[in-house]
This record gives sequence, C-alpha cells and structure tokens, in this order.
Amino acid sequence: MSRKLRLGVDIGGTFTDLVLADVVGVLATEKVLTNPRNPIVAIVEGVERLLAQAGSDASEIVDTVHGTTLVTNAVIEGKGAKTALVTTKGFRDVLEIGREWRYDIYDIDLDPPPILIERGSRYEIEERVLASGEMRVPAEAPAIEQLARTLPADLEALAVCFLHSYVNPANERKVRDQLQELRPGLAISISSDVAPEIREVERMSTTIVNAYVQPLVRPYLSQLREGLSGAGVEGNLYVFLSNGGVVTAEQASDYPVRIVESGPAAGVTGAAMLSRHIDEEHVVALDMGGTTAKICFIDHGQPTISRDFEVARAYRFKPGSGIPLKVASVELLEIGAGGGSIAGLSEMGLLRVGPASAGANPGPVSYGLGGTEPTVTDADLVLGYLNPDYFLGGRMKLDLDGATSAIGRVLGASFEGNAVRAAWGIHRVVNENMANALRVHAAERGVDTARYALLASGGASGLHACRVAEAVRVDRVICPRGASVFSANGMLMAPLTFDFVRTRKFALDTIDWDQCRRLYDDMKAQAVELMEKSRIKAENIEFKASCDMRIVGQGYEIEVPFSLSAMGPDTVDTLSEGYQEIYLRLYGRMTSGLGVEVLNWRLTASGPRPDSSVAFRRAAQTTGEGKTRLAYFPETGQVETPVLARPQLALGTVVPGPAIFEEPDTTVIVPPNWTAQIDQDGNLIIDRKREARQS
Amino acid sequence: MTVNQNISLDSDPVLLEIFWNRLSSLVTEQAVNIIRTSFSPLVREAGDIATALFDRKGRMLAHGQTGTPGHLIPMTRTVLEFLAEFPIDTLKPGDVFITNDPWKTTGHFFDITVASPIFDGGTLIGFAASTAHHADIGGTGFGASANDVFEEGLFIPVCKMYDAGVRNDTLFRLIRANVREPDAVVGDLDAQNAANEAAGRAMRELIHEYAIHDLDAVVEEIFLRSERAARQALREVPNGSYTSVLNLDGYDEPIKVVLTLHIRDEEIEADFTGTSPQIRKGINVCENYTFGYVAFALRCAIGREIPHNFGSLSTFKLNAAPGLIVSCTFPAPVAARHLVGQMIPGLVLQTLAQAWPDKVMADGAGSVWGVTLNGQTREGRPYAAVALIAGGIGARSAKDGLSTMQYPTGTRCVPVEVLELEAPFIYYGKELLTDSGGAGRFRGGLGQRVTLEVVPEGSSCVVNLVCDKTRIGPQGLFDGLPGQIGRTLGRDGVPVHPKQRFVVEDSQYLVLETPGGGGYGDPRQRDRAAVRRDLALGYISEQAAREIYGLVD
Repeated sequence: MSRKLRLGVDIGGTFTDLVLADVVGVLATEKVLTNPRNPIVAIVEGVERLLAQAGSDASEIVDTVHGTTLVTNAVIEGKGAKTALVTTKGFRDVLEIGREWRYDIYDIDLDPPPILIERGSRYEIEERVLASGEMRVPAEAPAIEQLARTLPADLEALAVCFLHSYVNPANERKVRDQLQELRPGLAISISSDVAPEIREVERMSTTIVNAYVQPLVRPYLSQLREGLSGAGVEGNLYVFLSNGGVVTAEQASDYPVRIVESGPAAGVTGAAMLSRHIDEEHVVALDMGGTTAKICFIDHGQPTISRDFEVARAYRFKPGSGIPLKVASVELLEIGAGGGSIAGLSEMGLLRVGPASAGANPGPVSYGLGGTEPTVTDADLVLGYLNPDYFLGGRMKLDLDGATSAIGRVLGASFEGNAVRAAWGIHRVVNENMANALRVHAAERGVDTARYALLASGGASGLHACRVAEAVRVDRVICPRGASVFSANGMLMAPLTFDFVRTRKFALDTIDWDQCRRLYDDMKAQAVELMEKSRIKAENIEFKASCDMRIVGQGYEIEVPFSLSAMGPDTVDTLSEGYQEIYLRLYGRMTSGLGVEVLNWRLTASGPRPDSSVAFRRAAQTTGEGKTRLAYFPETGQVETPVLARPQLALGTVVPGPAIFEEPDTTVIVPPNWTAQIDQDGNLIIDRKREARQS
Repeated sequence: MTVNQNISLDSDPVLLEIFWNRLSSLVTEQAVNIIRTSFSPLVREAGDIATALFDRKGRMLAHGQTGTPGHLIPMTRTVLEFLAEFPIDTLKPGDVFITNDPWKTTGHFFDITVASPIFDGGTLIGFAASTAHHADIGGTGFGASANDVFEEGLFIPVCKMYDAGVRNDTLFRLIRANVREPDAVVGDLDAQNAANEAAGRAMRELIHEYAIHDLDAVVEEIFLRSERAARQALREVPNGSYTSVLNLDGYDEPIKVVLTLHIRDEEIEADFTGTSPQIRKGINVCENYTFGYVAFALRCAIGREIPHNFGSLSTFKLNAAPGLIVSCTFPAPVAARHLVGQMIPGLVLQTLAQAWPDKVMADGAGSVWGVTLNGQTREGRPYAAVALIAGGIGARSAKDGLSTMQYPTGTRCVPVEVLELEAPFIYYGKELLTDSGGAGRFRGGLGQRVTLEVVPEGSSCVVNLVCDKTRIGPQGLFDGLPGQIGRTLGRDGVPVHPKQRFVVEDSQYLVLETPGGGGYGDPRQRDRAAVRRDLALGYISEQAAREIYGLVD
C-alpha cells in the first residue's frame, strides 16, 4: 500500500535533522552530521537511514520541505557571488553611509556594519523618480548600453535599486529588461520586486543580499533535487521561509533573501503547531542553545512576524550592527544566554553571566577541551542538574572537578568558597537575563507574560525553563518530545506562502480606494500566478490584507489587518478601530486630534495547510530503576533527587519536583514547587503547584 | 520569584546584579515607549530623548540604554532642581513637574523635562523623569540666529504640570498658544508623563517582588559600588595636567575652547580656563550640558562598562567660570548649543591622548550638521523636517575613523525617501568625499557631500542651517593630519553662511560638505595595502596617495 509521506530536512551548523511523517504523525526522525562542503551527501545518507528506520519506500514521499542556513552563511562569510549595484546617479554611497548611526554610543572602537558591495562595484545611472511617483528623468537606452559595457565581464549578479522605485518601478524594470538582453548570464534583482517599500538604505541592502546569494541558491537547489531523485525521492521540493511559510524551490531561487532565517523560523513553526495541537492559546517559545537563547511569542498558534530583520551582525546582540533586510520573518529575540555563556565579576563586583561565550570550542571547562572560564554548563553540572556520565547520551564525559575548581577560582571569594552557592548564582543570573529580555520584549508588544505558557526546546532549555518561568510569572512549562528535530518537524506543517507589499501614502480620510483596489488586484494576480505554478487553485488561496498605519509624521508604523472582500470607503472605520486597538495595547494611551495615515499596503497569500500532524506515536512504557542523584535547590538545599526518563511515566502519573528527566539529547529539571506529567504524545507538561502561584 | 530571606540584597552579588538589571531594563522600556509614540521628528527618527530613575533624594540611579548623552547626564541634576523649588515634604502622589529651563536641564528650550515622584503607599521611594526634544517651542526655531534666549521661544520655569493628579490647564493653554505644533507638543508631554507613570509602577512592583524593606541601603550600595569602580578605573590613567585647544567657527567670529584635564589619582577635573566668552548668538552652552559631554567622553575611554549614576559621576569635576561659551549665563541664546557642546567629546579625547594614547581617537566632525525645514503645504498642512548630515569620526589608535557617522550623539539620519515624502526636499546626491578624512597611519573617517534643493512649490518655507568646522578641520593625533574642513555652498559654488536662517520662496540649492575626521599617526607609516585600497575605492586621490602617504608605485 502506498502512503503519502512528507519529508522534512533541516540543515544546521552541526547536525542535519530529518523527519518523516504521514497524515497521522511522525514516523521516524534522524540526525546526521552536517557536511559543510557537500551538504547534499549528508541529506541523502540521512534519508536512506530514515526510510530504513520507518520501513518505507522513497517513492512514498510526495513532498520534501527543506530549511537551510546556506543564505545566512554565505552572507556572514562573504562567500556570495560577484555582485554589483546600480543605483540613481549621486547615490552609490547611500549603502555605505547608511543611517549614520553607532549601535553602541560609548564604544569608540566599534566597526561599521558589514557591506557586501564595495565602492568600486557600485555603479550609477542617470534616472530619477520623485516621491510622488512622477518620472523626472527616464533611464535612457544609451546609458544602459554604456552600463552594460562598463560592468566587469566576470560579474555574476546585479542589484538594481533606484530612489522611489517602490512607487514607480518603470526605470528599474527598463534597466533590468535591457541589461538582461545585453548580459544574458547575469542574475538581476530589482528593488521594486524584492522589497518594494520606502526607505532606500534598507531596500537597497535587501536587494543586494538577494542578488548576492541567488547564483548560489539556484544551483544548490537543483543539485538537491538531483540528489533526492538519485535516492528515489521525487515529488515536490519546497523551501522553508523566514516568515514560517514555504515556497517552491523555483520561487526560492528567485527570492532567496526570503529564506535567510529558514532554520530558526522552522523551530518557531514547530512550536506554533504544537501549541495548536495541545490547545495552548499563548505560548512563548524559548530555545536555549550553546551560545544564545532565542525567544518568540506565539498567539493563537501564530508566531509574531516582524518586517525588519538583520543578518551578519558585527556584534551579535547589537541591533544596527548588521545588514538590514526588509523581509517578513518570525520575530525572534536573540540574547547572549547559553550553556557556554561565561560567568565572572563585573567592574562593580557583581556576578555577570554572558554575553561572552566559550561557544563549543573550547567550550565549558567541564568539556575538558581547554576552556578555563566557568560557564553556565559548568554551573549546571556543579548543581547536579547535568549528569557527568550521560552528557549527549554518554558520548561526552564532563569534568565535575574541573568545573568546581574553575567556579571556585573565579567566584569563590564572593561566595565564601562555596562553589555550589556560586553555581546557583550563575544559574540564577542567566535565568534572570533571559527573563529580563522576555519582559522588555513583552512590554514592547504590550502583552502580559502571566498569560503565557513557556515552550522549552533546544539543548539547554529544559535545565532553565521552570526558573525562567518563575521569574516572569508563568505557571506552565512544556518540554516537547523530539526536541532535537523540532525544526525539521515544524517545516512539515507550513503552507505555501507569498508576501507582497506596495507603498502608497494616504491620509486615512482621503484614501483613493480605486487606486488601492488596483494595487491589490495586481498583487492578487501575482499571487494566483505563483500559486498556480505549484498547482494550487485560486479558490484554495487564503488572502490576508493589512496595512502599515501611523499617526501623521510618526516614524513607526503599526500593521493593521482588514478584510479584502469588503475593501472600500467602509474599510476606513475598520482601519481606524483596528489602529486604535493595537495602539492602545502597545502604548497604553490614545492621542486624539491627530490624523492617521497609511504608508504600506500588504498582502499575504497562503495555500492550504498540509495534512500533517506533530503527533508522535506513543513510545512503549518502560520501568524505572529508581535512580537518584544529589542536586541543589535553594528551597531544599542539596537533596537526593529522582532521575527519570519519559517512557517510565504512565499517562496521568504526576511527578512532584524536585525531579530530573534525563534523555540523550536533553535534560529537564523539575524544581520544587512544580509537578510534571506526560501527555499522550510524550510531551512533558510541567505545572507550578497551585500554592506556589503568584497570579 | 521569592527572595531567599537569609541573603540581604545589598551585599549579595547575585541579587544586586538582578535588581540592577531590572532597573536598567525598566528605564529602557520607558524610553522605547516614548520614542515609538513621539510626534517630534528628532525623537522618533533620531532618538533624541533620555529617561532615568532617581532615588528619593533625587539622585540618579539608572538611565535608559538609548538616547543622547547630552540629555542623560544633565538630567542627573534636574530632579534636584525640582526639589529646590518644591521641597520633598510637600510632594504628593499625582504631582508631575515640568521645565525647559536651559540652565536647569539640558541647555535649550526644545528639551522639556517631565518628572514625577514615585510613591509606594504614602512613602516617597524615588522619581521617574524623561527629557525629550520637542517638535517646536516657538521663537526662531532650531537654529543659532537668536540674539538672546527670549527670542528662542517659550520658557517654562520649574512648575507643576499636574498637582496631586489635577492637570494644570493654564500651563497647557499657555504652551498651546506659544508653539507652532500644539498637538504634537502636548501629545509628547502626555507620552512622557505616561512613560514616567509606567516606570514608577514597575519600580514599585520590583520592590514588592524582591520584598525590599530598606531601599536606601540598596541604593547606597549601588552608588558605592559604582563610585568605587569608577575610581578604580581612573587609577589606571597617569596623573598629570594635560591641555589642548579646539578652534571652532563661532557665529561670525572664530572661538576657541581650551581644556585642561587634571588627573589626580581617582578624580578628573575638566578645567575650561582660557575658553572664549559667551557670544550674542545661539551657540552658547550651559554648564550642565558641557558636563554631560565631558562625562560622556571620559566614559568612552575609561571604564566603559561602569554605568553613569550619582555614584560614578562624583569622580568627575567641572571647572568653568560663569560667562564662558561652555558655561554661559542667562539670558544668553542657546538654541543651537549642541554645535559647541557636541564638539567637547572630541576635545576631551584629544586631550586625554597625552595621558592615554591607546584608548582615544582623534577629533572628528563633532556636532552633526542639520538642515531644518518648516513650512506649510499648499493644502495648509504644516511640516517640519530635519535632515541630519554626519561628517567623519577621528581615527582610532589601531583602526581608521568611521566615515559619515554621528558622534557623540546617538542619533541617526532620516532616509532621503522619507525626507522627500514629508517635506519639499529634492536630493541630487549623497556621496562620500574623497580626501576628506585626515591622513594618518590610521585615516580619519570621510565626510560627505550632500547636494539638495528646497522647492516649496507655491508656498514659502523657513530653512535653518546649523553647521560647523568650516574654518579649521578636526585635528589629528601623533603626526596624523587634520580632517578636511566643511563647506556650505549655494548654486555655482557661492558660499552660504553655515549658521543661516532664511526664508525660501522659489527654491534654494545647497551643497553641504561635512568635515572629515582627524588622522592618527604618521601617514607615511600607513600600511601600503591600505593606501592602495583607499586609492582604488576613491577614498583618497592619487595626489594624496603620492604626496601625503608617499606611495611610490
């Protein structure tokens, strides 16, 4: 019998994760080492092992969804194509001048954000469109011919970005069409296609990144298709987007800038799917890894989407130090809190943890790979939270004595020589760092953390999640089963999605609805054409319209949804009310007497959600051996704490904290005042005891 | 999270760190909320704002991690000024104070400070305050042309905006009647007040969450540790007295700012003896603003991680006799005080170089250039736009200076497309300026040439230019050459006064060339590959490569 199987493949820096699922749920998961030089080899190997594990045949796979860090890495490592920029005469330095902003006001030693195209490869052409859209200077054929002759012979890609092209793209299109004829091999990206919205620096850098990676992405995806085909996997190939949707491989090749945040976005989509599956309306996903922790709010099963993103930051946690991108991506807050975060005393004699990290190499002191500075992982080991003999399922032995003495050496004097107390200090400060970031992020979005459940995925999350939850008044923590392939799993759940935007400024009371209808008709037609290429019929497309609104003259816009079918003069009320409601939630006040205007008009088109499930088949129950080990909790001091594994738990069994769940790829700490139970999919649900709750 | 009761907060390095971080993040939240909702173009696009929390005696405890240093540090004293007028024992819940007194806050009328006492039950526990650069304050606008402070607009002395929760309607009517954009100004005042309230609420919750019974002890511990760390950091700088001179355009006549840094063990005194007296145009600086930029620059070089608060700032002393251009007296005009005030960090670092050559940078363009536009569209809609244009920053001891970067402010430029959409600007170019960076082993950052036209189309508008360093460029260090001077030109290269205010009827064409940063070290010692790269990219000319850098091939 032939089943319809779906395959998820997520390439990360260290591991490539694979998931095979059918409509009922996950059939098999696999993890293979990433081969940075030839990632496709590792994929093919993984697929074969996966199929063997599931007892399935390659021909049963109908869809493959792929997430990759290829784009991000190419940009970070500067390994994109040989790319040039063409822009309006007088503006080639706009890219380098940027927003003239130092992302750290005190650091006189800072480096400017990276730029991908140096001055010598930035060309100018006589052309000009005004802010109104009026064509002041048309791009003339002789100038374009001249340009074609000037561009270097070995040029692979070209970004075209003219002032105000978001309102009138004629010059950009003309240059593209004519150059394409004169230089057929050149991959040309124009800004009015890639990111048609106001603000030239951001639009330009987005277009450049698109051009820069395109010549890599296209052949990579066709090689992947061949590789899969060689393994017997045919069917559709989709690529996962930064915004939580998927597109076909062909479309990903046209707009590769949209897959920048592919991997992390997949993790968030996994979390969103799980939240729907277990009926949690408000979830904050916490993914704590070796160097950083990532946080994302998910409401009603939908992750928050941001329209501003940065890649290749010079300083990882400093907004403004990277290349700005105008692409929709899941809004991930990344902070310098991970297992490798280094602890020490600040100038003020206070305990400081991170953002400096020992990373994976040399890593924490306890790895025994040469690290000397105490880290969060070392503290977790000293506290008894990690098992020195069962780290990564026993593949790596941890050095407890080394960790203890490093903590004593650096922090001993401040803790009367008590390494366990110092370790608790490290554990607590890193938790507070995450909690603080979460709080500020929640405040920016105008939400109350107490209404949320915390979903802990990623290597170190389970060790810290309950304490972070306590600090932000959250009463439920969920540790999903299959956390290690969470991203790959998430990818299988995403629908085909396209985002469109047009900039047209109108005062709310003077919107030209005929013009808007034309804008939307145009965007919809584009969407339908793209969807049909993936054999999705127009009637199955879900359209969501929204616009970016602001009080006249304000610099920040708020995205307000509205109904496309009822679009017209009556929409003004919807927009006005929607704006007021969101504004009030975000800022707690409403100012009257000032006009509201609309700047950008957006359309998101989604295909049907795939017929997949995050459910895992229930694992066979095993009996426990009644293991315990000594662990420290401030409520109890050091106590013998039960060490368990999920399969030991029967449905409905409630395990009171303190307890430790230990598995090859993750450890979960259930502190005192919390209780754990397992749901039918094998997810751990950890609740704060009623008497310990604050709200 | 409940606090482990056997540990007292003031001595525990974990709890104190956590409490401290929370304070800092809640004032940052306060700032973010104001920026996002502001109607003032300088606040919303450029982040020209500051927020802070104070203890119950009015001493600054923590400030937001965003905004401009010129606001942050002067604000340290503002709450004390409020308390001088309204003694602590008269304060009531719901009181809100306001002022824009340049001598008591941040040096010009545009910046309005709003502060509220924070009560917990009936007990005063501290203050929340914010300062924002408002869209308008009447008078001659954001320029240097006024002859005294009375011409510069509305003076709001220290007074109550709310008295025990009752709005001071007379004050609001007075403000509305005196500014060009009443809705924007009042809207922003409300935003400041709302943000203060939110910060106060958050501080109250924090104290409850940590069950802090003796907040004073915690506050004293924070001040003590900050001061101790600041003193420790200063110990590393060699003792001595170091002097240098900064020459500026002035308004019509050049001025000079003379700075001597006296470094004695754990204290620094900034002595401005020898500096030009105040003048009759609006570039005079009040002492508090000067102090702000001295302290800011010192933090850039010494103990960057040590937060500014009442404790750490006590190690810095200012010596500036009343009546200097950096310590002007009432009623000197001050509207464009940043033109001189923001030059001070460059001077401080240049002076400090004599003691600490590795931790500084050469002087740069300093105060960011500005072109402000005020007018009305033909439909009668008023607009106000500010184009900020940065020059180059000075070279560092081991890196080139940053090109076209705003320093010392933490502001940013508004995109060309936004400016053209909002106001009658047409830009013809925005380009890096070849050879503008001072030559050196490490080159100064490049300035830029902005070519634009103001075309009000059927209605007139007012343009204010605020530009400096058009007579003498930013100085280099250790044989590094100065950066190129700035230029302000009209059509056909006709010079335009760099601090002019003029009415435009038809059109005004402007070419603005910002100064480059000073170089660091002998240009002939510059790495040859770096010289060739600069030449290839057009950062320097062939002539400069040959004659100044001594490139032979």
